[in-house]
Amino acid sequence: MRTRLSDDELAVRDAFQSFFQNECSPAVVRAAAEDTGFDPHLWEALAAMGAPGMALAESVGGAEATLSDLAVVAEVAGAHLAPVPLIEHAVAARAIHRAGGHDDLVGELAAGTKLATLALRPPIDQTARLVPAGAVADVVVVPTVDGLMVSEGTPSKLRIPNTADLPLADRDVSNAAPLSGGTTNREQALDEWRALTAVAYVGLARQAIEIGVNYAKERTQFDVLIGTFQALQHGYADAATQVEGGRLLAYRAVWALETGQPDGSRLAGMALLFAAQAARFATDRSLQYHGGYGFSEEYDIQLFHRHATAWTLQLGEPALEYARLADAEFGARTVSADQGGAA
Amino acid sequence: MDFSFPPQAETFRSEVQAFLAEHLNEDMIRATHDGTIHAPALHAAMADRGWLSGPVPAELGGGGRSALESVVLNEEMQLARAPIDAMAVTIVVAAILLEHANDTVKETVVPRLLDGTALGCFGYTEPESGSDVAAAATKAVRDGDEWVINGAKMWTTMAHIADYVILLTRTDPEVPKHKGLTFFLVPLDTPGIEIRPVPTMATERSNATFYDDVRLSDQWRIGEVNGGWAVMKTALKYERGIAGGQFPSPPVIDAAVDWARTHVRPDGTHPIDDPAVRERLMRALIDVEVCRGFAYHCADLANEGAMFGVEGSMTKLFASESYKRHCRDFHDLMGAEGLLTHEAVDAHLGGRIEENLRHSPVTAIYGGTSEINRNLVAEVHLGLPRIR
Amino acid sequence: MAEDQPVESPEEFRTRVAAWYAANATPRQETDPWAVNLQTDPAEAAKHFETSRQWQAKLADAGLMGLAWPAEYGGGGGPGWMTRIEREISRDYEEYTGFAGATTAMLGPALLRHASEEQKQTFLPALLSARLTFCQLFSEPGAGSDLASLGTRAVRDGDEFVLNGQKVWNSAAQFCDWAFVLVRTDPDAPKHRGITFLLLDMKSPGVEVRPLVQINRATHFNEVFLTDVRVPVANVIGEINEGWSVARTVLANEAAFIGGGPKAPASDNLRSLARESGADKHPVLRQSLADLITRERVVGWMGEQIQAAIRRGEMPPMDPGLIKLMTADIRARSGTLAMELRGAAGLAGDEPETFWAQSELVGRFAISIGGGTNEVLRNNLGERALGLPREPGFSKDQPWKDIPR
Ligand SMILES: Cc1cc2nc3c(=O)[nH]c(=O)nc-3n(C[C@H](O)[C@H](O)[C@H](O)COP(=O)(O)OP(=O)(O)OC[C@H]3O[C@@H](n4cnc5c(N)ncnc54)[C@H](O)[C@@H]3O)c2cc1C
Ligand SMILES: Cc1cc2nc3c(=O)[nH]c(=O)nc-3n(C[C@H](O)[C@H](O)[C@H](O)COP(=O)(O)OP(=O)(O)OC[C@H]3O[C@@H](n4cnc5c(N)ncnc54)[C@H](O)[C@@H]3O)c2cc1C
Repeated sequence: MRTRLSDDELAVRDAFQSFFQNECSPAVVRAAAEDTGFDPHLWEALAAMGAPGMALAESVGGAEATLSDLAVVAEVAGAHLAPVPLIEHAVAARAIHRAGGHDDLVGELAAGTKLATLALRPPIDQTARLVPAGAVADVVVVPTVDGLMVSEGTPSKLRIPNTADLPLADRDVSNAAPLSGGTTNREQALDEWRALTAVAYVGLARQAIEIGVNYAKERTQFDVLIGTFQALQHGYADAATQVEGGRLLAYRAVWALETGQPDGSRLAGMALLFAAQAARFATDRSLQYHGGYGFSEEYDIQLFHRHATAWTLQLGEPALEYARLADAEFGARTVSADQGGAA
Repeated sequence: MDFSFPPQAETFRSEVQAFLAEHLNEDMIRATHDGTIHAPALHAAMADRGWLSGPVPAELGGGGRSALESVVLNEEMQLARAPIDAMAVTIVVAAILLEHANDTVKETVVPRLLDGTALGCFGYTEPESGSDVAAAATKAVRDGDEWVINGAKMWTTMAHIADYVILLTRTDPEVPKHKGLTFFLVPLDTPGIEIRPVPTMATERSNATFYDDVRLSDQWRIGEVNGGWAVMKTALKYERGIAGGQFPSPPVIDAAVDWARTHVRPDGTHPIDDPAVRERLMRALIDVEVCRGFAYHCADLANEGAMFGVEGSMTKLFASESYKRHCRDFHDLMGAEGLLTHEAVDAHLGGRIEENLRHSPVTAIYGGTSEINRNLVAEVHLGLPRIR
Repeated sequence: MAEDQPVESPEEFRTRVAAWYAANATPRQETDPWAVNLQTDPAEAAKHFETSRQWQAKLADAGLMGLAWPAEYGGGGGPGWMTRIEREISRDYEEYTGFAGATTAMLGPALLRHASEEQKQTFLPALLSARLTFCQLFSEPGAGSDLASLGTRAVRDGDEFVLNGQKVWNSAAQFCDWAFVLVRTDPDAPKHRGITFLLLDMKSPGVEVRPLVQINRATHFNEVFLTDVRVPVANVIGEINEGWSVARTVLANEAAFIGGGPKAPASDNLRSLARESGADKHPVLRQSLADLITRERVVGWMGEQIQAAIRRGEMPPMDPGLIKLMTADIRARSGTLAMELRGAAGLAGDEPETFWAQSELVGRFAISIGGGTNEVLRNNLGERALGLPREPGFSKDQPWKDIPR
């Protein structure tokens, strides 16, 4: 049992922490938002650090890092709202690699010279709708009823306008070819996405709290620092408690997937829902406790608020995610849809 | 991170499960309805196994169980609905004595606590001091080799069945409040002590205890004169982290699932097929996993010898606040049937959800209220400025 | 005119006003329910401001503004129910009085209560007819929740005050003709007692307005810099150094107005979204929706009671801050629900539903922060409505200039 990062994980964290601090300031996030929502220079710099392939096998040019190591990077990337689809890329590349038979492609993905992503929902009429990084990815891994398929194509570089200025786009996947591995591979990929996104949410939420707490230690009203008001203290304490609880759950989900625990999938779904909720609460509190400045475009907290809402919605209605977990927990429902709901 | 348990803790978990299967029965669980959350037979069986001194380091004469094993014990007992209050309090009192008492007390009292023949209880809270526990006013005045104690304590739970109370007193009113406190271990049959029952909204009972010229030899002093705050810290260390209730919800959720599967609604469906019910149950199960993460985290920190505090605050805050929510949600789920108490013959699962509903509010009050824990998280974890 | 002797029965009044609206306004069904009142393009915003101002002028011409205000200042002098009925009818139409209407509701009662007879004669008719529009210059970079600590100085020079300082978050300041402004006139007095309330012509030399961009990219609020701006002493509302009580009247009416809620309840749109996605069959979302509708109704009824009391010139039966708090809470819920109902489609795209959902999500902060934050309103409720003691550490009696800053 080690509920803290190991020395190796801390080393990874520190390296990426200083990387993102230098390379991914809020100004960089804002600049990307004005464009496609993706920052190619940041991606190249990450590739130079070996990040895109870090959790792939050495045989294909990866660094053979663990999913936990990847999670550590995802947390830091989340804290900086990094405008790069690191999680989707890594999860897609791992899924293609697990399927076997695409070594050249996986090699390019490991090097980061090609960009992959994961569509989170099955395509309808050959179109995958609102694909994360769909505006910029060269390779799209698509979930279907039977498993996964992979589609290569030229990205449009046009994103659909959206809440968090993410590089979302629809993708024509009519040329998609099946990947072996069936539904097991598909579930593994989606669960990895859930767990890593949960960790990224934790990074985001911790940062949002830190920004707000720092502000509360500088801003004076009624002749005292606003941080002395219990209204703020208790709001932040609740937020921090949820976020730290979410962090332990998210890393436990990552660990469970990595070590093949039977409840890995369950924990991954739970972690995503909980961490997303915690992030929403934390950004809501932090924005509110900025007063008028929170509502202005100039202060960074609004960026965190918008991202907190966005990431999970890429997967669809949260209600469906609860329903999915409930089916696994209690068995499928035994009444027909007209008797009680569309979920 | 690594969330696997060491093999020893896994073995211990199986041992505890087997123990509970053998020793815990419905009568013991129901016995708590008399207001005293204590099952003597279970307590004795645990003492037999040496589990009452578990968390205290072996060098201090304890069972030397790792914090992970302690959390496993606690987890399994709560999942099984074993009455743990008297046990938990006794474990903490024993732990305090092993760290701070003189040899006489260690040799005469501690063995009796650990073999289950004697029980301890806490005497911190007073009518005028609760959250601000360091404001205790119960006076202890030195008189030769003796101390004379006068005052009143409130919420001295278990005092009516306990043999000893660990009593927080004021020995120096002239210094700042944290610096004039001294602890005593007081045998409850000492002349001058009166115990009056305090009924609660739940099934449990507590007590008000009164101390009128209670004379005590200096050998019952625990820790230094005016060094009471250091003892208090030890108490909190064991109480918040290790003996704390991180798993109050699972029995309630089990009952709700059972209800949802078996109850038939007027339209012929079972609640378990209602997406709204399923979502509520899932949310509660997620909260339980969060509590689990917190519990293991505290244990891991304790294992490393880290003095944790704020993590314990977060754990208790989250566990008790979510438990209250679960009780309300699932009480609602049952509709009118949810109103039946354990005294009603056909109450679902002996009125388990109803009983928990009435019990749940106190978990956010005793052992440090939710507000106090939020203050601690704000100040210690987030570094926000102190209010005063 | 006394309430018990209306010249017109409520039914007659309703028929008359409904006929006027039918002839002059656009029914709401014909307009887009997803339209968002949010202009990211400054030219659009200016146009929108002007359109609503003209609508108010038209209403005033028809005798439908200030129905219950005293007739001598341009009002209708009618009973309070007229305003309620007019409001009900207006809900079914697209046009509305916008920012000008909001200031009328905020500033009007304050002028009625605190202004001199001459000031009332001059400004009230102009306010009602929107011939003049007013923005609020209260907040400063260092004085938001703690408004009374404001530092914009006004030094007397004969018949004029000379103003220097900076204001911030001033809604629509770039469009308004005039402003009502709080200034410090006595730095030696405790902070609440050295403030004066002035009306200021925004075209005065030395007034500079710089737009700020909001989280939703609208340029609705501004910074306003005041450099040696000269304002006649005749423009003081109430007494010099007693502007705080005038400001409190404005703030109470602001809270009541914001709490008065938008014309169309969010639940109408949420219902359509739910129907469209099939979520109206999903029990969890149905419950959230029902919960929201309940809250909307409750706050609506509370708001009516408060408005009725204000119209009658009575003390409101409850603190108007309560309405604003509940409205902020409803908006937070409806924003979250809107995004959940839209799912991934709420994230992205050009559909008006998406844009509406997104603006609903952040729009609530305008209410939970603007015009007094939720936290400050709760403090006020605790102290005023419940009689709880103040939080420690407030220096009420220290001279303003001695408070460390
Ligand atoms: C059933 C039961 C069993 C108990 N058993 C024991 C026992 O065995 N031994 C023992 O010693 N005690 C026991 N207690 C006492 C318990 O620890 C206290 O009730 C608790 O510490 C709160 O103190 P109080 O009741 O005096 O409330 P107060 O301290 O008066 O608090 C009242 C309210 O004010 C809030 N508050 C207080 N200070 C602050 C602050 N700084 N900031 C924000 N909010 C604040 C509190 O959170 C609470 O909501 C028991 C209590 C109960 C109900
Ligand atoms: C959309 C919008 C429009 C606005 N329009 C105008 C306008 O037209 N004219 C104008 O003058 N102003 C306007 N404002 C400004 C508004 O009134 C202020 O933003 C508001 O009063 C809060 O002040 P602040 O921004 O300085 O926040 P601060 O006062 O710095 O507050 C920061 C945080 O601390 C909390 N806080 C402060 N004091 C306490 C306390 N005692 N107890 C507990 N918590 C506390 C607040 O609740 C908040 O969460 C507008 C604001 C917005 C968002």
